[in-house]
Amino acid sequence: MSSEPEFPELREGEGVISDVTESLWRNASPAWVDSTGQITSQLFKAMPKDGGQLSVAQSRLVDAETHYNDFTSLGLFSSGVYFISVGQVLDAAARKSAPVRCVDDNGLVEAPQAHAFIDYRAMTGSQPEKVAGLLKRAALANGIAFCPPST
Amino acid sequence: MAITFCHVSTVAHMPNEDRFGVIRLRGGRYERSGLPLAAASELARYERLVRNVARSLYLDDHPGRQRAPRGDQFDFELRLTSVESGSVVPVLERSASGGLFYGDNTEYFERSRVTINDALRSFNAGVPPRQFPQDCLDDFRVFGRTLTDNESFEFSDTEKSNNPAVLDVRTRQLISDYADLGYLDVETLLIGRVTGLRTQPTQFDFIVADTGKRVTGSYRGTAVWSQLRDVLGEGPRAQLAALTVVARKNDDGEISDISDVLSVELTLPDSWRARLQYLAELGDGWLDETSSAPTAGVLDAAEQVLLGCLDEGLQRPGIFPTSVGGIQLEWETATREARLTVMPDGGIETFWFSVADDAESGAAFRDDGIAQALSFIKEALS
Repeated sequence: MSSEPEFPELREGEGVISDVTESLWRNASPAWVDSTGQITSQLFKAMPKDGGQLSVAQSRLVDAETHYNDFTSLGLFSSGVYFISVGQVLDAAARKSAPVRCVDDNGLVEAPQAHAFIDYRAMTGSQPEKVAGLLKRAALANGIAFCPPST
Repeated sequence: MAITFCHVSTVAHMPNEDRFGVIRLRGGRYERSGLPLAAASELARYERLVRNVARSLYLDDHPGRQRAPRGDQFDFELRLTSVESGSVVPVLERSASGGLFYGDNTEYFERSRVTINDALRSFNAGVPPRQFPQDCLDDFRVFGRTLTDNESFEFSDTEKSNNPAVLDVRTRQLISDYADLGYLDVETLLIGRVTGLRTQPTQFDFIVADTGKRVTGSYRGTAVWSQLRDVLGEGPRAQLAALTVVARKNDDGEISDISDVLSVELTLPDSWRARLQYLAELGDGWLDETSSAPTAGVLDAAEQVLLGCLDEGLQRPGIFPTSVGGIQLEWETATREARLTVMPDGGIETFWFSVADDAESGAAFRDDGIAQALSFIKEALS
């Protein structure tokens, strides 16, 4: 008998994104794009400091170029914006029997705008690693959404 | 494998009596099919040793002479006429064009061969050789410098001789001790970094990769200078190069210096090396304010892992920093994803999973477990 995943309760103002066609932007650090064009699965894995919440931006609220500019204006480095859809996130998690949800918290985060996060907090063991690997594949298949002129 | 040397006037069909003893090359590379190229240089050194010992014996017998006969009169050449199976048994025959030394004095080459064999037996018995010419010790001590710990050369009068004279690494050390050199020349491959290069004197500075030991090396010729210049770099992030060298080992078995450079090669393909160089230039905060750059130790370990990838025939992985100062290598096939992460403490973590089903596996290794970690990855990708 399987038990329901134990996600933390959403905060006021947060909501689960239900539109599976929604694209989620993700800036890639230059160091995470190899000269061969390969990107690391780490791009889709929450870092310890993220507390299981992988930051993305929502395509219905902001385009990829604007998200790049928002991101780099914070003093962070990006070689471009990759994306996966909400449907791809759910599919990747389902293939690995991993609990996941995409959460809109726009307005609760000061910057960048149109913020959302992929919620890894109910995953256990190697599930985040495997889901991140599948999302990396999906992002590479989707292609880069915005590449700054200088790169 | 056994080699037949003969001393011949022409390389036609040589009678057995012209066969120049029997040399059997045993162990290591010599147990596999074919004759390793390293054997060619060793046979040339053997020829030189035989010739010079013969000259010395001749001069002992002719105290009125200042030197042995020159040119054709003392012409001596060994020809490799076949390689017999077993261990490597090269068939060496004497080649001489006639003249004073061939004929009346040809016995000196045979005496030289016997003298060398007797000296080897003496050294191995822990007894100084009684008759070995002192002026030939230099030739003696360089012979066998490509031998590894599990290899040896055996010298017999005939194929059926029961008591071959043996030259191996231990014998070479005994010869070196006898010559009171305090070091042993070995031909070996060193991986490390060239951090300085000079023309007067012709020397270079070298850091051995796996020990961090700094040694000074000597080189000869502008071609080698040019090769060394190509891999020259500043500090610990100079390009990793593989140098085939004649190195001097001290009594403790440690390399004290490099007396000659035989070849220079970069050890990683350009795109691999360039990627590591890029990671070496990252600073803390490269991802965000909490991220750490890979340390020199992590970079070195990753370089060793990548060298191992080449040895294992693994495809180039994606090469990425981790936010905590490690380096992660990633491979992708149609059905699997595999990772090898060099952790900030030097440990190695591996993981693979199937894209298609629930199969997965992971393992952690200590910093000296590179070979095992790569075997894990290779199996995952096969």
